[in-house]
Amino acid sequence: MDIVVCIKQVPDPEIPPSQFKVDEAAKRVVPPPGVQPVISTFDLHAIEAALQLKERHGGKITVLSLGPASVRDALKRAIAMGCDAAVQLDDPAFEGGDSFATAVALAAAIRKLGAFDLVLTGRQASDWDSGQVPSALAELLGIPGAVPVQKIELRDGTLYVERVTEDGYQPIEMPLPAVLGISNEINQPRYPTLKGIMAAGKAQIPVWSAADLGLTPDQVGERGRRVILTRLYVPVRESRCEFIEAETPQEAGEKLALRLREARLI
Amino acid sequence: MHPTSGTIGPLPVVLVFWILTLGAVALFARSAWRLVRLLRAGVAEPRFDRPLDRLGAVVVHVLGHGRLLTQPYSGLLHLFIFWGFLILTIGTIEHFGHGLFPGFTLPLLHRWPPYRFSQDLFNVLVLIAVGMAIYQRTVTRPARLTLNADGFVILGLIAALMITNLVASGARIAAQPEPGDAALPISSALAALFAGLPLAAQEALYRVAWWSHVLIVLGFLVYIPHSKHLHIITAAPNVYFRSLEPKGQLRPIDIEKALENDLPVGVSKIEQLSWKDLLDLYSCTECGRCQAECPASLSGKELSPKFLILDLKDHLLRDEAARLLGAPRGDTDGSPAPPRRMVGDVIHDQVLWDCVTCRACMDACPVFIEHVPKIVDMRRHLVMEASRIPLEFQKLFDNVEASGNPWRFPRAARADWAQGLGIPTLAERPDAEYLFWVGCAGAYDERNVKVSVALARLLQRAGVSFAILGTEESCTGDPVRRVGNEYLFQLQAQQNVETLTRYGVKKIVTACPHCFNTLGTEYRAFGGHFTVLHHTQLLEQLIAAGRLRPQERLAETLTYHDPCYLGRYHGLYDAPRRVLQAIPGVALTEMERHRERGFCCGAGGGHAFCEERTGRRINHLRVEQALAVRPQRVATACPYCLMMFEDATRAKDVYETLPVADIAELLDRATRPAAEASPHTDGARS
Repeated sequence: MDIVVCIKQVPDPEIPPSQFKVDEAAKRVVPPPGVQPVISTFDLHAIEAALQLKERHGGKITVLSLGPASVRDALKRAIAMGCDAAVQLDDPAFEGGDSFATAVALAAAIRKLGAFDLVLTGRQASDWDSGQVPSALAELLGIPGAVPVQKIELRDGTLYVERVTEDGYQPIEMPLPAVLGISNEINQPRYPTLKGIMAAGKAQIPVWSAADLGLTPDQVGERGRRVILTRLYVPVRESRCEFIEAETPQEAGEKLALRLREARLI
Repeated sequence: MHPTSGTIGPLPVVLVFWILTLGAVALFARSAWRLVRLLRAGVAEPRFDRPLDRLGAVVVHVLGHGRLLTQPYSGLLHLFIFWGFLILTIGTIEHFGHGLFPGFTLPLLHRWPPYRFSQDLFNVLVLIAVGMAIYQRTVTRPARLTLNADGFVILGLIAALMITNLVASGARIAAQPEPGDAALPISSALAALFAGLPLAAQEALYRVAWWSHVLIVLGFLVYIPHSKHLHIITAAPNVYFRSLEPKGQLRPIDIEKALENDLPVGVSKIEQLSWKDLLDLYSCTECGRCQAECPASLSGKELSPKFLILDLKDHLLRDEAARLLGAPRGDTDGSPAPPRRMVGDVIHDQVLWDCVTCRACMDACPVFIEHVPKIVDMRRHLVMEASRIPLEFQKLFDNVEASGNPWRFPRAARADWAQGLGIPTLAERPDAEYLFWVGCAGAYDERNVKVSVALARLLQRAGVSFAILGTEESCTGDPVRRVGNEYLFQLQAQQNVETLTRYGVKKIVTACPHCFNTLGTEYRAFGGHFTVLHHTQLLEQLIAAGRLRPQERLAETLTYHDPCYLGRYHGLYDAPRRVLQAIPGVALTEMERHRERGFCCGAGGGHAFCEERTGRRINHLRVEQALAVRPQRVATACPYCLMMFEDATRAKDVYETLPVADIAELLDRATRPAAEASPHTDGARS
């Protein structure tokens, strides 16, 4: 089973909120100084899902990422975890793209890689949380897709997946090839072994430009955008703390329940 | 009257005795040779240097029972049995000589009264010791001892040896007195008992007792290699070959070389342990002193250092011996059971993760078994080869890698605590005498920042020339190394050694015992040679030199908690106590477990960064131990101990009544100029 995993490198989501800054005028996120970017969390789960499928069914895993030179660290981490090959998509023309423009470039790269059985991505990236890329990829590649996925099984050549819903899951059977947006419920990403880290250090990672993918500058990046960003700002969160006074824990529980009901929260 | 005179059927009795003796020796030799061959399956490890130091420990801890006597009851009984064996073996040689070569007696010794008396005396002392041991195993029953047949079989055999020896000797005196028998008072008393018997009965009694004695000796010889009493042979060599390396230094791995040559970077198979590790397994006596000191065992975790060693021994001798000795497996039904994995099946992953690396087991072991390095070696396999790692430790690795500290605070914020305190960085003040290594906890943890501030103030007050690295400091790598990520540790070590060397750092002071150990002991293997002082050492010196004068009274009863990496790892028990005692009004009271027997706070070995999910929390146990001596405050000298203690006092609702402070905070308060004496500048809660 040959799998392509698309990953995104994002600013470290673990940094304290006080370190997160945006340039409202330029409508851009200001990267926090001295903080290394990381692989988006859901994408780590997608890599792990691919590795587990490979362990069960064999095949090859290729990782794709669109971004500047720093994404090579993300791709190396994926190889360290056990992926077989990686390709970086980098071109000035890719800059300023939205989810759709990114999906156009990724879809072209997936086609260029050749035959595949599955494309995995994270359900959404932990920076913008748009969750558009997996569905756009399915559309552009003309194959079925499902997001967010918490379970993947191969049953007699058919794909069985479970889609996370608000109150449970939806079982789906679908043909291969397909695109799946992976959710965190599915697994626990592994830590790279030492052999993996060393293999990643030696890995050759080719860089493909828009021209390599047969794309024109108006299809990708800023010019390929379909979403218009009108304003970028850090919302001010207000919180109010209310103490429930009571003599006993039981009484406190009752009062708390009543108060929550009043606020129509339960 | 000779025990091996006469014939049994056509065979002369002496020939029968020769056959029995040679047969038993052959069986013993075969078992012993098998054990030696298995030992040689382990990897090489140099343990042959400094023979005088090594012999010294054998004298103190084998002949003198140094460590055994820390528990007086079982230590003393063992001392009797041990010396009994040494002294009585001379008599046994004489017995066998007598039986094999009729007419043989030990030259010189045979008629020497002190020698004869020693035989009588030790027969009785050993009998008393066996009685004490049986009492211990059946009545007092310390939890560390496992009740099993082996123990009683051996005690019974030892008792039988003593009784048969005395009876043989008594019957011999009754039947055939010799000059000099007066040196055998016990045997003579028995002889008086047998005096009424006819001569033939006395002779028969002598023969039965003599034969019982030698047959038990031969049986013992055959049984020893298959029982825990193998330690009779292996304990002394195990003490001789003990580690003489600095205690806080884990075995470094040449990672590049290992990868080039496809060598393991952790231990997952028994033969990847060293020959000395395997000798450790042979030497375990199942006394359980390790387990009785182990915070994991005492808090109900799966790890027991005793069973760790016994399970490994069992794995070596039962599961792996055939493979290692090159013989085909004994399965005849054609479906060999899959071999049990050493890490995972024999030793569960959780057992390895339970260890806090506090070293209490190793310091308690009378035969110097080295538990912690084996555990870390197996953790290295789990981390670097198998990638079976608890999530919290993965997070720890990611955090250290991404931000140079275990919590993922930004690198850029590392010196924020020092703002406005007039503390220069080395870049600003390259000629500073001391580098104050702040450590991750001292730099980022709100509680421990107070300790850093207090220490900086003390150094300023004493006029010490010092500077910090600021944002160029990064985690020493101690927690990741002890969790098993040697690779990440070496990256941190190389980076820090490079920074320290670039600034030409010579002297370092730190408030963190883990940084203290890593910088001073472990960085040597990476080219970093620095004089590293723990802050309690420097503060003690500054007080002694009169540069710090504690004047403000602290009329309190304090108990001091020994951090493992300061106490057991570096023997620094007195400096912190002397600093505390220099503060007027302070009265020190000791917890039951203190100094060499100190009890880990629960944070070592990476455990500051993961939850305890089985049994009780180690820090809760430790706070209960502190509460038991009713102190007004707990003093310690380690950021992680401080955090663990305060977590536990909060959970146990004694946070207000049992404040916890670092020694630097208390000394800062005691040395502040009178004008500053107000609660607002008080580092420690009062």
